Amino acid sequence: MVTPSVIPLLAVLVSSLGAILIACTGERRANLREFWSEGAGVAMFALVASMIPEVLAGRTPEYVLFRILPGIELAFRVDAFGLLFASGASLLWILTSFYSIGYMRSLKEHAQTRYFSCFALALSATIGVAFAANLFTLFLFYEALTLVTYPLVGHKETVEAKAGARKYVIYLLGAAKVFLLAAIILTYNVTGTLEFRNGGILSDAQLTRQPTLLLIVFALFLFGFAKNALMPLHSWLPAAMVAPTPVSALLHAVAVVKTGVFSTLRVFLFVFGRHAMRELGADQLALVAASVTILVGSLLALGQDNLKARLAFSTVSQLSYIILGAALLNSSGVLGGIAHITYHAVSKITLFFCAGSIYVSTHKTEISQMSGLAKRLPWTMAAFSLSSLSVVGIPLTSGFVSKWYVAVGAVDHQSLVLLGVLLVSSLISAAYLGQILYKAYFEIEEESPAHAEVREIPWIVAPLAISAAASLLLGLYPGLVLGLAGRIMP
Amino acid sequence: MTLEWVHPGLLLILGGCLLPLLKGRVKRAAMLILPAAALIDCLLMKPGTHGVTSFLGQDLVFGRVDRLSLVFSYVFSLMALVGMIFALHVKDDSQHVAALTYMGSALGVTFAGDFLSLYVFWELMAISSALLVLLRREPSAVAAGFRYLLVHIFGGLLLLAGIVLHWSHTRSLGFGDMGASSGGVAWAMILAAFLLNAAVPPLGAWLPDAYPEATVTGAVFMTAFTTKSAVYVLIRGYAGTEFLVWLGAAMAVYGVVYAVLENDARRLLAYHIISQVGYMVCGVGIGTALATNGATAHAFAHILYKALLFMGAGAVLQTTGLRKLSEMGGLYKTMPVTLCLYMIGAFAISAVPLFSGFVTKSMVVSAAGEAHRPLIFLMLTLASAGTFLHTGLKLPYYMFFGKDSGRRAQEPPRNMLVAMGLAAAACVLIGVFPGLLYQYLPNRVEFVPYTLRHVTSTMGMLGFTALGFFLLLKHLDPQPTISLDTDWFYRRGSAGLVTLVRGPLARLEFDYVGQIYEFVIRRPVLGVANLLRKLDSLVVDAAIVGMGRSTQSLGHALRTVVSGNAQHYGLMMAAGILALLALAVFVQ
Amino acid sequence: MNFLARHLEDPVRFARIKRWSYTGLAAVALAEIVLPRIFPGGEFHFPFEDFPAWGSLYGLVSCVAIIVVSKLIGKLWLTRREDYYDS
Repeated sequence: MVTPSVIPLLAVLVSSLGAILIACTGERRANLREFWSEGAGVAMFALVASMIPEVLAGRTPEYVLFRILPGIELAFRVDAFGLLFASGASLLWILTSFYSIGYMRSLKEHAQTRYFSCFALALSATIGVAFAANLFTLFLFYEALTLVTYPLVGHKETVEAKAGARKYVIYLLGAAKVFLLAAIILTYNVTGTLEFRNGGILSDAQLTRQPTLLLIVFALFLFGFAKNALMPLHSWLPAAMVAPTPVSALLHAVAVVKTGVFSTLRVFLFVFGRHAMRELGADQLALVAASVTILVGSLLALGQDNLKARLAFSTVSQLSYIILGAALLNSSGVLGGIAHITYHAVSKITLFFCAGSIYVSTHKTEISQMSGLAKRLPWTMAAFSLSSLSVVGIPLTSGFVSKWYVAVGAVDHQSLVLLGVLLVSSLISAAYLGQILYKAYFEIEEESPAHAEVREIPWIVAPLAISAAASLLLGLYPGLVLGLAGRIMP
Repeated sequence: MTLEWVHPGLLLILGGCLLPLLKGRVKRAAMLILPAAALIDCLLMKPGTHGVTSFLGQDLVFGRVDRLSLVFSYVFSLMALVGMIFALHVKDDSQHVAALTYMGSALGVTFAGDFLSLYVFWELMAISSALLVLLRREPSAVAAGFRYLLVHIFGGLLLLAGIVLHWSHTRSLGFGDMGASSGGVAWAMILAAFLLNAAVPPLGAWLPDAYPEATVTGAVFMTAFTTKSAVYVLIRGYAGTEFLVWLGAAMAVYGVVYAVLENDARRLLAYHIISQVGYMVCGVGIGTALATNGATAHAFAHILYKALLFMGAGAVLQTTGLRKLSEMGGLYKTMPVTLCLYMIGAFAISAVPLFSGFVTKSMVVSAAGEAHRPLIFLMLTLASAGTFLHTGLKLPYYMFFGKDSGRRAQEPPRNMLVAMGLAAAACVLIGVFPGLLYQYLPNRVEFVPYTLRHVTSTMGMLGFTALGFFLLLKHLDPQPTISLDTDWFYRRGSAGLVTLVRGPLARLEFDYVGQIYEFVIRRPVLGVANLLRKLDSLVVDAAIVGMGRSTQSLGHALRTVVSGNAQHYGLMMAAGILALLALAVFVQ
Repeated sequence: MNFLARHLEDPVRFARIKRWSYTGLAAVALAEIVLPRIFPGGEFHFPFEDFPAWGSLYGLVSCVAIIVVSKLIGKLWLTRREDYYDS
């Protein structure tokens, strides 16, 4: 039941307002500036959370801004899927803000005002994607997100940073302009509308008349949303590792990649729908692309010595779990995929927080240097262990819950190959994460006089402890996420 | 969970987590009280179904208590107590927490009534036992521990795949006899996972790889729980599976064959675990009441005497630092008590009459006989001879006697001797009064171990094995070598995989796929931009410049007009006016 | 333990132990052949178990077989240097 409500708009705008306030406050009053960041985060989460009871009761808040053409309007509509994504993103933003403060101040980074205001704008764009009522709105905010994160990726302004940021922007803008725009235009052409509807907007007549065209449109969507890091358009993600760690956390957990898979799943379920996807064979395409990405991504992660690069390829691999789950098109698989959006976000953000903590305290970036680190950074490595268990999918952690559902979905889909892909990838992730852990805990560190001063920084450690605990709690009480996620499939 | 039933496993796990918070005497007392409490809990338990909770929409049964699970729980908790006594002197808290978690999870596996809770405890066991290897902190131990962890995670994934498949077909997660789905993919995967934990070749190479690398006390724990809980689940789910009979008998021989070549004392004992578990697997496969009783009884006895043997070898390792047989010898002079206790364990494993092995191993062998399987009977008996050869003769000879290495060590700390004494006492007690054990076996026991024929035949076999040993003594000298096992595949394979990933795959990713944006977008875009720039400079610029030039030359030309001569000006003015008039007339 | 040391180091005592051992072995083998005849009724499953001194014989054969076969397999196939895996 659609109810008009201005709250979605407010939720999107509150962090833009925050960004303006941050920019105005500037470097002179840094604490006030940080307060605007946190305040905007809390306000945004409050607004988003306020809609949860409504949506659970079956109502759909909506707000239409303006209309450009018939069937193309800038509008927000809040359903269970968007709400799940938005609440996760806004909650994790609060955590990331605390972490950013600790990180940026410890390293005495430059251009912090630009950083914090771009961050806030990025969250605006993310919530805009989450609450988008149609493809047009989604596309708008999706592109805005790319532009707004560009200065964040290139923050350090070194030669490598600029090259990395350039690669980042070219991939994402290029894929969007070339593939996505074409897909949206073609969709409008065929169906006359860009609105999202649960079950798809394609009629049977359209399916039978132009199956090839629609399949091409699907492929354009699948690869156009390059933020979902499907191979071969995934290389922007490892390149974006030149960014400061909280930006990586944002990219990987809070906003960018999650926007990518969110949009992809929106197209799967709300533009095409299960029936259409099966008819066109689109699910097969998605399953193959996702499987390849899962396996090759985890293999590449195994070969990286740089910690952030390893985590980047791990994300490439894990994101395709989500796509795989959704492409199975049965209730288990879709549930598992959607739940993994949240669970992976929580685990991955912890891993990146830990990587940043290691860098701030020891200035180490390569795994081969990390012997014996656990004695110096006990909280960091404990959090790393817990979230690694979740990424691998050990029971009692949240990662196990989503893996279980996707595995059941694969079996229900009668595919032992897909089950095998999931499990082989789990084994490889145990290898590439376990190596870091055994080095940190059980190897003897090389002696160095600088070691005496290594301490953990509270502003950095508190957020990662919280997110690690969340990984565990969500695993023991999966109902929190599954309740909302379960409402998404009709 | 209701309060009438306390899960002994959770008692150990949660108690273990609290242990680092205690100090000194209180901590050591707690280390003994926890397993004792678990043991008492098990002894007081009544059969039934307890501890049912709901998770992910399924019913999880944490407390399936019947004769089979009870007898295993008795020996597990008894072993927990003995092990903790043995480890009392260890200062490293993480080892205690890992050990208690490990033992608690084994109890969890024993009482699990459904696959999901089984899986949770299975994975917990894998991780905590890997820690027992990793915590030795030597480079070889860290490497072996990591391999162990990955192999067991692989096993866990097989189990998960089997569980998911099983659930998909039957829509039930209950764990019971799997005979109904015999031959299916789910059946095979779950069986493979169980066999991996039972260290059945070819999946069992992790055991001789990791056990010698564990800490002195950690190895003692590890011998008891992983393989025996696997035997328990095999009895529960796969009793009567024919191919297990052959697998078990082959295993029994495999272990003793490899043991001949071994130089590391604990690795030799590790291969013997494989050999003894072979008897149990064989018993599971035969599936008769006697065979199942035999497998259970043998597991019970094996835990105790194997722990005793590892404690002995561990004590030698602890006091002398030696692990290789080629370096030991002459220790009987200074470690007589250890020697004596070790020999009790050796006699037990060799099934010498009056010791526990005699009354339990014979059940399985007899079951093979009753089932009319002569080849199996012969293989198992051969393995018995081999067991005595290695554990009762070769190992003590080279460890304690033999060529004197000149090492003079003292006896190990008192707590270790007490633990060994307890285990030894149990071995003798069961051997002399088999009924004590028989009354707890899952099926009714009509078996009589002490028959004249049986005793004389066993004595003969043992005696003449000893003769063979002393005759061939020269050929048995331990060499400082290793022997390859099936772990060769994944050790060489993973090295190859890493090379592949770091080399060709990384090159593919970074030099080709990662440069897609370079070739598809950046170069063309820059190329077009270059082209346009050239266009700009050649044409547009040229045009502008050209216009400028022509204006300049025109100006040059026009300059000649400005001569400064008044007549010229007058002439030009007149010509100009005439031209205009002519134009006006013609345009009209 | 002085008791053990005394008996093993002293060649006279050691020779006595050896003699007693061989005697014991012979006694056991004899017992194995004779006793089942005197007290029949023990169950046996297979005809070969009835062979005189079956246990002793099989014990010796097994022991030798295991040693010979294992050393053969080791030499031909399985044995490697200690540092084989350290590459």
